[in-house]
Amino acid sequence: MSPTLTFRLLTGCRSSTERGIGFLEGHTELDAGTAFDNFGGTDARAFRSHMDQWLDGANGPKTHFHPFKSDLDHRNCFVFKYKEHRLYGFLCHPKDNDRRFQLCSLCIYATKHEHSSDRSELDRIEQWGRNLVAQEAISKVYPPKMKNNKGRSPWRN
Amino acid sequence: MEKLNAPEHWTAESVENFTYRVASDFLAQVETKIEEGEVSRSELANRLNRTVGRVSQLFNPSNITVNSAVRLVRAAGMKVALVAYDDNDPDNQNGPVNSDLFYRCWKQMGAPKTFFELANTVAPAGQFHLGYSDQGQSAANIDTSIVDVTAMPVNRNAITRPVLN
Repeated sequence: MSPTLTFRLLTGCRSSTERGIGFLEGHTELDAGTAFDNFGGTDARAFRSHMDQWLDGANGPKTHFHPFKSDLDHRNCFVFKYKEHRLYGFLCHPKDNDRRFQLCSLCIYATKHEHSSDRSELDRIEQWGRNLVAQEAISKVYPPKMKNNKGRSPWRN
Repeated sequence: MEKLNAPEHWTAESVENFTYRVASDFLAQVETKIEEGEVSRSELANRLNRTVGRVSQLFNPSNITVNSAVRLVRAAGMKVALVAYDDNDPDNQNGPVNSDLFYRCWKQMGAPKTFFELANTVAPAGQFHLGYSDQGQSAANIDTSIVDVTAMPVNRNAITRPVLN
């Protein structure tokens, strides 16, 4: 995997001290940010509306976004939805001084026509969530107060 | 470094964007009612004398009008209000306030139906604060389950009446 991953915060949506959204980028598989930037018209409005709703603290409806809490193998995964478009990412708590703060790091764009999510995509999302380079990229946006030099993840999923 | 304040909210770019967001919030309220099993799309279709496919078209925020919004919520056994408000954000840096927040606040205030009922209602202690918050807190980590609170009549001469900021 690429050692030059970057994390870009979503701009133009609701500011929140409780939740945040951004895009993990720097690898061909990490295309959620590019897909989002290329959305226009109704697609862009729909995704921004759904993101605002989540940033506002809403936990539904599932037609707009949802985690995969009941799927133990993918419990950190999260998806924003509009029609056939899917933006998959993982949830994490990157602020070491505010463990309640929830960040959705969007990674993969997919189109879906079946009812259930593609488990292989969710597997990949979980892997990106555990990727130390990805965690380092996020930590540059949310720098830890004290550096963890024990080789452990600087934040927990 | 973390940027919490983008220069402008996306709904500030055009009336169409703002309208879409408001319609999306409204439809999310109805969709949540469907997900909670209080009404189904087929029931809505029956009540509206339309096919399920035609009802699904009503859930497109781009298609919503006040007329269709009223038809939809009435079929779902609900009502709708258009609420104008001043959130001290004249340049719309933060976007619109989610319509479900107004609904939850109204429920939390005992769901007053007249100004008289509102005047005789006291917010549950510690649950509701009048006036603006400078903290920018969202509801993400607050238990947002709606609790029906019975409006408590208050002696108009009581010194414990809430003070409006």
